[in-house]
Amino acid sequence: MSERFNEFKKKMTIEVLVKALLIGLSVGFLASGGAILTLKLIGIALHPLYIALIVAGGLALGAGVFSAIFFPLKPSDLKVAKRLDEELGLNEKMQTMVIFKDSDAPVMQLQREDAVSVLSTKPTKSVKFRFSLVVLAAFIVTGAVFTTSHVVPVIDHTVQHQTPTDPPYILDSWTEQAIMDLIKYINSSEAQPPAKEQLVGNLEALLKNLKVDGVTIPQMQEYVENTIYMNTSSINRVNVGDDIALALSTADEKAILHISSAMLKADKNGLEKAILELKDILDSDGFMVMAPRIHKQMGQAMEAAGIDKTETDIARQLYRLSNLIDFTAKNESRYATFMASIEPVLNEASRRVPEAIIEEKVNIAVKDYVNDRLVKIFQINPPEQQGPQSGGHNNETGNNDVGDHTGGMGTGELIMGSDDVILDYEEGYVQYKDVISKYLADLLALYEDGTLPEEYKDLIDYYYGLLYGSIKADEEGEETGTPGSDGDGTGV
Amino acid sequence: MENIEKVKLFSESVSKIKEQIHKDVVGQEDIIDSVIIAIVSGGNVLLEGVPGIGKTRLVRSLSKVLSLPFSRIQFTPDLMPSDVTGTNVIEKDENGNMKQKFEKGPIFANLVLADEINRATPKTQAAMLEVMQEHKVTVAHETYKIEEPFFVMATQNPIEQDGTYPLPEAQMDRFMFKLLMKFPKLEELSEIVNMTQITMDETAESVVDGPTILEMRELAKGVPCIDDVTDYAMKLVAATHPELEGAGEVATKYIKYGASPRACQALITAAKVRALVYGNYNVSIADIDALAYPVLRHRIKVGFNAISEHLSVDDVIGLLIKEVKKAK
Repeated sequence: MSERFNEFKKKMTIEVLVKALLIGLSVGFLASGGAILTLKLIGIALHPLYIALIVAGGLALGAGVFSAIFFPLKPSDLKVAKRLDEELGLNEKMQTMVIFKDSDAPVMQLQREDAVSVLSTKPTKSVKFRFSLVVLAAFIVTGAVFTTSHVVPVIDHTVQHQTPTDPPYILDSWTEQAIMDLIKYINSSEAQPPAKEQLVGNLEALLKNLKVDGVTIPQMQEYVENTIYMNTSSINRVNVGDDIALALSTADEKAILHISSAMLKADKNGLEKAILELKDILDSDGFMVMAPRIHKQMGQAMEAAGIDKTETDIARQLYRLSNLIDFTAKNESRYATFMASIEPVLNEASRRVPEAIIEEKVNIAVKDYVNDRLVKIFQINPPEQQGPQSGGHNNETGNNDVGDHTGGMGTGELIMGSDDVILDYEEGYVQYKDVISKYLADLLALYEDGTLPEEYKDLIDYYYGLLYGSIKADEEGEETGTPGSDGDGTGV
Repeated sequence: MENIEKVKLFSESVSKIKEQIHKDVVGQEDIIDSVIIAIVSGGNVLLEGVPGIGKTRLVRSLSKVLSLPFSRIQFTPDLMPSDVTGTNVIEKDENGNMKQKFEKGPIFANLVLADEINRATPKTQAAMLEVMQEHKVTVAHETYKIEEPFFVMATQNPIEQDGTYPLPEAQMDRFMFKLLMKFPKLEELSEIVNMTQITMDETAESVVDGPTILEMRELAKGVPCIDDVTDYAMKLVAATHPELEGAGEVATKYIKYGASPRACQALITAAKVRALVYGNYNVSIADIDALAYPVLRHRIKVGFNAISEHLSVDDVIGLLIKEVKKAK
């Protein structure tokens, strides 16, 4: 081909080269830049090595695209000739020259000369450099994507969950003083020292918790409710009168039942009289028979109920009385010396036990007062249940609480400790849990004085056995243990 | 002379021919070019024009320039085929014996002007056209060849329709070109008047002869034509057929029936000559476009849509060219 033809061909080859390069680079930019940008936008941080690998991959892809475009599109002599004919208006001279380049015909020789001659008059710039604006725009856009992918930081998508903060509780001086006043009240009250110690300790612990930084109002409410619960539990531990009364209610001996009844009623005079009634029973020639009977029904009943509260005065008195009655009866053959031994103990018990029962009532009263004040001071709803419910007396439950069992009053619901409101003939509308012990004492008294026939005893035993968890509703006839213990309570 | 030199001289020869013809014929450059192309290509021309615009003068002048015998046949309704081809006559020889002798008709010339061919009967037309096609005459089982180069220029009067026998399409197809001779422009008319005031005789001089024309014809056959150009010519002819699958909009809308394959042959043959006439050594699409009109205008029949839209055959050919180029 002629020199001018080759010049045109070179120009067109460069054109294709540039086009292929731009497209290849665009593809490479888009692939690598797009991948990096996408990963960053979804929050994935890449090691520089991986970024370099992605870029290298993009460039390799671009090189492949470049090759796929350049080599097929690289202009051949015929393509160049065709374009020259079109753009320069050469009337197929160039194409004819190229196609018939091997022909020796006279006309072809002249045609070639003519074509070369005509082409020589055309400067290379007469063929315009074809430049696709679309390709250029794509190159710019993909280049921007590539650049952006390296500049933009990794987007952090971690959602910061803000837990709603509870409002803070700040212990003011008035509240602190109110608690201090309660402590003073407790210390100056007639409650027993162990009860005082427990109640004061609970209040001091409450004060300490409320002074900790960062306490919230819900936490304060929880602390106060726990304190109320702890107060009740503490007094339940300290007070043993009702536990003992219930244990003694399993006895057959009327005198012991009288003691139980009087203890439940907190009837001081009746309790004195009931304890001294034992003296009347023993003051006869049948003391050797009655003594073991009394010991069994009183002492062993308490032991079977798990009343191992020898620390308390009441228990100590009654255990001592019961054991002495039994021991003396076994070792003294004469009534006079027997009575001489036990009479002082009886007298002491008749004095001391009633006093202690009254003291326990004071414990409860003080505890109730303190709990009521706490509710008012902190303006919380009084807790519905003071402590967990479980069967028996060997737990730190509130007074009158029994385990979950069916039976009682025909409702199938827990009656003992129930909040059901009833109409009491003396108290008016009260919660059943507040009067149930009184009802038991009244029933025992009626039974003792003969108002209730013998056959009602079993019914009373069964009913209160259910209430106190000693009897399961579906286990009729399996009556063992003291009332309140899990599964082995006995009737009253 | 080297062939290369002869090729180089081709366009020079044509220029000389044109120069001489212009001594007798004013204007009509396109017609003269087309006639020369047709002669060199070995084709015949159907010339349409009003009386008195120089059709006879053109052929007569051409015969002088080409040094070729010329005859004019005036076709009339009573013209017989033997009036064209010649006939056997009885004559006495030197011994007084009666013998048959073939008297050649006016067709036995190199250049023949068949004037108002559409006035003759179809039988006479057919006889004429058969000679045009075969370049020979057969009378009483004797065949008489017509000397090459043989060129017929037939004329039709566009005005006169009464008492004419229009050439059927199959016959029309035998003409390579149909040329439309237009009325001269004013300045040309002035020149004609001035020229003919001096003399009515043709003053052109002979510059080439028959063998030269034949040589030129052979040379033209060697002009290269690339496939793209040939394809274009074929597509152009195919585009005139509305019945073909994939027919274009122009053919479907405006053409009743299209050109025969002879049109394609005519296009390529004439294009090769045209290239050399204009000093080129290859056939180009421009050659095909220029020759499309004389080659196709008598080979296609336009439909009612073209007539209703006042589109002439040439207008439709122009649309076809655009359509084919657009599709390329």
